[in-house]
Amino acid sequence: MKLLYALFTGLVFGVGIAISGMMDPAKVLNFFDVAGSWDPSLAFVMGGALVLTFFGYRLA
Amino acid sequence: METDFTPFTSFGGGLAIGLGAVLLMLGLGRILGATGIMSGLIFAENRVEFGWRAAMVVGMMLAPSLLFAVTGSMPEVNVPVSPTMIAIGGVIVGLGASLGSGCTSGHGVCGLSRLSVRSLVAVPTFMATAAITVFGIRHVFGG
Repeated sequence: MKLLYALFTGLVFGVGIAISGMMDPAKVLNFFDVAGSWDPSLAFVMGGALVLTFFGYRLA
Repeated sequence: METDFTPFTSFGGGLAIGLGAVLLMLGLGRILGATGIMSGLIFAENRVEFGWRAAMVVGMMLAPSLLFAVTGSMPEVNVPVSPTMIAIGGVIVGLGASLGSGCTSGHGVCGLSRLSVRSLVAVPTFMATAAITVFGIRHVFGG
């Protein structure tokens, strides 16, 4: 049961990484390339994740 | 290379990442640090420690296939550097995540949301280091 639960949390986390675009190394690198092909998407990923964990951890 | 700015899907994906972290804390009482889970899988102390880590990694690996089954398209993956650079980068990132006791998910998501002082120091440090490295490679050495 614990293993199935762990698999499910991994799946949720992985789907999040994939939807957010963070599976794409080019996108991650571009977050740091402010002087070049800057893509601020990673900040929005962190924002979404922090909103959920900030409140979620307080309930957990 | 240019990548599309995707504020909405990135925020939505971030919510799912956060949900995964909260679920892991709720169910197993663990911090979701992807690098730590991976290294703990390879250097597992016992079967229990190995089990949940392996199950989680399998879940992560199944995620793109699940998305493909639902949406019919795979997430975009472009690797703008050579395999040699990836290998060198991987070793450096692994060393850094071990020395710094955490990675982007462990410190950046779980640590910051718990207002951990260590994470509040670690995240700006590795973010700034990454920006300086990218600037150096792309704009100074012209990689």
